[in-house]
Amino acid sequence: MKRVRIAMWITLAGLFAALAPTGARADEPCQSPYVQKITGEEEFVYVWTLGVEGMGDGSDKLVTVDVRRKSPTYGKVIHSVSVGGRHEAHHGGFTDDRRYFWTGGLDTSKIFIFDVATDPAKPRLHKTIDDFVKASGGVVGPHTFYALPGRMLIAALSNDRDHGGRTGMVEYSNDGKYLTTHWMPTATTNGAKVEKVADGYGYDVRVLPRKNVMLTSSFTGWSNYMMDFGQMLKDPEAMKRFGQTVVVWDFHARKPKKVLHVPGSPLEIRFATQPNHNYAFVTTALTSKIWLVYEDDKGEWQAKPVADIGDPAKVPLPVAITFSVDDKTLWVDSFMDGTVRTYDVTDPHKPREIYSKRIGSQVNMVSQSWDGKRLYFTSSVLARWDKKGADNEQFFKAYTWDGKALEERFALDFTKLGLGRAHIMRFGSASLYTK
Amino acid sequence: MRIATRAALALLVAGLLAPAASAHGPRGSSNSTGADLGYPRFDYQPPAPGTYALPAVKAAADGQVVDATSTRRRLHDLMGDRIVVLSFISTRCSDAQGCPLATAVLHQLRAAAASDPALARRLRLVTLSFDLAHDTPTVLARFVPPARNGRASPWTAVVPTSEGELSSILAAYGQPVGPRVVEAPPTHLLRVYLIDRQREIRNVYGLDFLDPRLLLNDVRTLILEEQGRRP
Repeated sequence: MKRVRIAMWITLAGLFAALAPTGARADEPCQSPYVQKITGEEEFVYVWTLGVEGMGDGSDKLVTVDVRRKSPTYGKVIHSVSVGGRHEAHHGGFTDDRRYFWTGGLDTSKIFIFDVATDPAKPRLHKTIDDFVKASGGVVGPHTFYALPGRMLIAALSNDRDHGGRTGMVEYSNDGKYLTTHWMPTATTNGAKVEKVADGYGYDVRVLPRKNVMLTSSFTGWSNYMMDFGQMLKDPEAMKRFGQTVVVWDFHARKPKKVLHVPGSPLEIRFATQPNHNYAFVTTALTSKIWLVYEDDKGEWQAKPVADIGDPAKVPLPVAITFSVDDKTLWVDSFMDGTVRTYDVTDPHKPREIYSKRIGSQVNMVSQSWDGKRLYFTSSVLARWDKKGADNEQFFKAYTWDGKALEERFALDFTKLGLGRAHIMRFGSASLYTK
Repeated sequence: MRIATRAALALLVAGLLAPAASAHGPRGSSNSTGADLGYPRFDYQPPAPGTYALPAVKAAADGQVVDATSTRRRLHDLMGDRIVVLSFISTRCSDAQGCPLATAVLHQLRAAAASDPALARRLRLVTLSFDLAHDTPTVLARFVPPARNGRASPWTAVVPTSEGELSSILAAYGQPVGPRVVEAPPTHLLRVYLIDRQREIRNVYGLDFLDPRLLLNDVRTLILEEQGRRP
């Protein structure tokens, strides 16, 4: 018991070291600024993984990949903790003190909270919240987990009335107590200025604290994300049910101020990091464009398309993005062609593609280290949207980036390993905490 | 050392008291609140008091503490019937983005209360030290500003009566603090708590949140709520 407590404080000591304003950081950029950063190079990558029937135990699970260069288990899966059943494992995020990793299931709306502090190499399931829909007043599909001091802000995708895209954001205390629900603005609610339409849809959430600005994006509801992808593409009514808005909020008041028109389902939002850079990027899944959401010279927040991603006519389906901390490089994964594209966004109004590489037959998430030298990729979008047959590669791949090209460090076949569909990644560390 | 710390505190307070920037300044404009001091810059107009809700996060825990006069007290008794801003610190912490910053914000609140009797009647500031090895009642007596004009000070500094008491208080509030040693202030995360009269935590502030204007508006939001005004 005493040993466990000592280990815990060693861990926390590392977290507190992050208060230093300078120094290399292991963490990927673009996460909640309220989450404590860890210094040095990441040691573990946690992969929230969808279970596949007949594969291993068939359950959703949190997988730990060892990325310590000198470790005898470097490049291997060193731990896996199943939650029992398949819940459409999707995204997750750390609490502000980085002791717990909250993850969500889009189908069952269950939330699984893992303790990653006691033994960072071996997270354990700490708590399950199984009344999210009821507690929140009908919100379905917990998606983005965004840490705030002492609490977790969860952006969701759907609702329990029609399983469409109207949804809300839900706040919990770090202890797992439901606090409140903020429904996304529609034409008749919440009093926001509306550019064209207020669809009430949701997906991602990010905050720029010094401007008290929160941005949210919009995807689609349960009826679509749980539908077979091919079937959905043939269903004109289903294809109408995609988000077309980015909402600018007064963050502290949690009140929508302006609903920007961003057609084509804007997904991940990534703010610039540098001071005085009052802008964010978001990519649209259906129209394959990079959009800039920015504060103009009059202090008004605007959105405009600034670049195409590949050939939009071929619908490459851009999914995940990551934005370097020097605000110069934007990485964009597109699912259908399994390709990552790199953009020089030194001028955010004129992104310029400088590199591309095919990662696999399909690719979804991308995470980069704070120094931008290491990138990680996973393969799965959604259980019913992933490709079929041989194209359904399920992997975790690690690369280095020297500013010119990606070089593969190692790859893990999640199918051969009997794990499932690899989705969101987050970084962990242990030995660095002792410095 | 104390002089240096006080000088740094004075700079911080000066930064906090600087005129707020326009909420909608031009892109790339230079802004005010403490940017040159390593203090987070806040470039917005805070929402007006009473226009937003502050849902209760959890109950504010009690605990046994001792104040600057060496009197043993219960934390809840200290809170009394007031809205409380509770700051966890070590008085020997000199990190400009840590305890001195939290203390500077409390100075700001104290100044606001000094010119607003209605606020002064309702507000209590509590600094709770987690540095048992250093922050004795004698040290705390030097830390808290004296009362003005014969009126009771709204600001009290306390330290838990034992390591066990401290651990329970920290755990209950969710205030992470590292190992306590004699040689140096414990490592910690900056946290300040807003507590209502029912002793419910209504907001938690970290470095990026600790805008004194925002905190003051949150206090006033609770006062308006007590008066029956809700958003």
